Amino acid sequence: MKEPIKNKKIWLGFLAIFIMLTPWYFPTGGETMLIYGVPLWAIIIILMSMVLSLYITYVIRYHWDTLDEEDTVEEEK
Amino acid sequence: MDMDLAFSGMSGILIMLFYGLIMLGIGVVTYMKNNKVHSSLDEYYLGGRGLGTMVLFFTFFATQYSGNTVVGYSAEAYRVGYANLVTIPFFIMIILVYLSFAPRMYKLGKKHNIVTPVDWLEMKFKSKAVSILAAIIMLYALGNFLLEQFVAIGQGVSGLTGGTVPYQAGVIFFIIIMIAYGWLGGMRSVAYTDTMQGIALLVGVFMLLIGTILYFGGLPAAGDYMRTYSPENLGVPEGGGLVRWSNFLILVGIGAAVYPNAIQRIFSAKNERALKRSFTQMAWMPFLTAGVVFFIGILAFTAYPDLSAAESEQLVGIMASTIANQNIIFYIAMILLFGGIIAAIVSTADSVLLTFSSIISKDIYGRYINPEASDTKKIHVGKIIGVVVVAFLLLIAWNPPGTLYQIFVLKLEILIQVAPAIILGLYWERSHAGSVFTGMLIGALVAAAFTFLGLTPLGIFSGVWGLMVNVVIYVGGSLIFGKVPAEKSEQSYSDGKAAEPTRI
Repeated sequence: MKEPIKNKKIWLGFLAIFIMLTPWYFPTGGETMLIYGVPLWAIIIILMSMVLSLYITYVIRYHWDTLDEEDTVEEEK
Repeated sequence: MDMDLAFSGMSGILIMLFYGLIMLGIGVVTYMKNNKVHSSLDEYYLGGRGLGTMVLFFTFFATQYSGNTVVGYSAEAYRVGYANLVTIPFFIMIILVYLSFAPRMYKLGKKHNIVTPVDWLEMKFKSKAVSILAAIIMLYALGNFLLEQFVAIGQGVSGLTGGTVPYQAGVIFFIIIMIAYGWLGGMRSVAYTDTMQGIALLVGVFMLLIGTILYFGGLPAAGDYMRTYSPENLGVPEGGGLVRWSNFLILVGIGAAVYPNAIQRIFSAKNERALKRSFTQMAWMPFLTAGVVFFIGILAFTAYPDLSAAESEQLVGIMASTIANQNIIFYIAMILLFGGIIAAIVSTADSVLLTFSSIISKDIYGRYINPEASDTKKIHVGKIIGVVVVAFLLLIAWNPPGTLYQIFVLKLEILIQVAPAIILGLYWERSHAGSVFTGMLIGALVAAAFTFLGLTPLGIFSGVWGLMVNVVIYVGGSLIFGKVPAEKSEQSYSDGKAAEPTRI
């Protein structure tokens, strides 16, 4: 049986992504660099958002398995 | 800005009628296919705990994304620029917060026949004070949320039809439809209409994006334009902007995940696999919804650079009309968008109303007033009270009372105060009911007081302040007064002794 909350490493990963999801680490002032019309910092935030979605997908796939059906049947016996 | 709206006049009315009738039709078909829908709370409020991946996904989708996501967020992106990009990660955060409690909540729900989040609290804490306070907070927040949706329906319908369908007529029409299909099929009707509503919205928004790029220019043009005329809209948020950004991630992430109607959808899942798949899909939806909507707001800048704040609220309507007038394909696509926006508001409202009724049926009437009543009777009472509340909210939506209006604004700030009890209560055996109650109460009062007084010390939102006070009281009190149960907490996964069903 695997529950995401039980795995501390998973939450360290989430914490790291969360820190990178807030744009505190970009230089302010001066001219914003545009790539295809979008500020560079915004592109990085979008990429970090994708990393978060990807990580969530991974955690759901590999770290959430509470043996749904059989488990319930067993417990009821 | 005056312009001819493509959907004013007869076509607007026809579109509204068409969408309304489809929703009603889905309700009737659901009712005919499931004739025992009114026989038990599980059937009516949770669709018999049988929602498969696709329907479950769309009902989560419709609950989370309302018409406001399209109309309001694009206007916001237009006004503040890239600082509003936070809408993409905050919708993903909701799924992250689900991961902290949904796996266990689903198992417990199935094992102990939990119907509402209050059921769970009653089972865990066995405290009348905690259950009643949580029920009141949830009903209050749900009521306000419902009111907001009603106002949005009226404004949406009258705005998108250029006033042909008046505000009041739009609200009344869709509320009647919504109550009718909700009564007929309960959660199943709500979930099936959510599916139709979600598809219309997704297709419509996507076509709006394509139309915008074709007729108003793409991102490079918008970027150059903004650099010249409003470079501040391109800049990185700094100082207060960063605090606001991270507050959004926390408040929306936790708040939206503990919406009682969202939690009820966890209980409605057919099996764990369906739940996992729906969550995985939901984790990617923010790019297709909030992301697309955000860029539509940014792209609008080139076409309409000088809208005032009030005018910008009609941005989507103005753009959709312009695009619809280009050719027949876009006209049809914009009809979809149009109906999709209204449908998205209706579908958020219907799930709120259903959950509202379920808390009345199960937690108030069924637990304290008439525990002996049959499920059919409990459902009946929930429905009636639901309609009474809708009527009351309609009166307010009609004539907002000037000074009192603020109390109808509190939603997420106050609702988030039940999150510690719901989430922490799942894992921390030492949780002490008295401290949980005190934390929830003080947290709610702090959040409400700070909201009314307009206080945001250190730039932190009132709801987050309330939450911090709440957690400190909860944790501190539980450490002092709480008892560690005899068996090791790791062992009591399914909450050991609390195995008996939720009765007092």
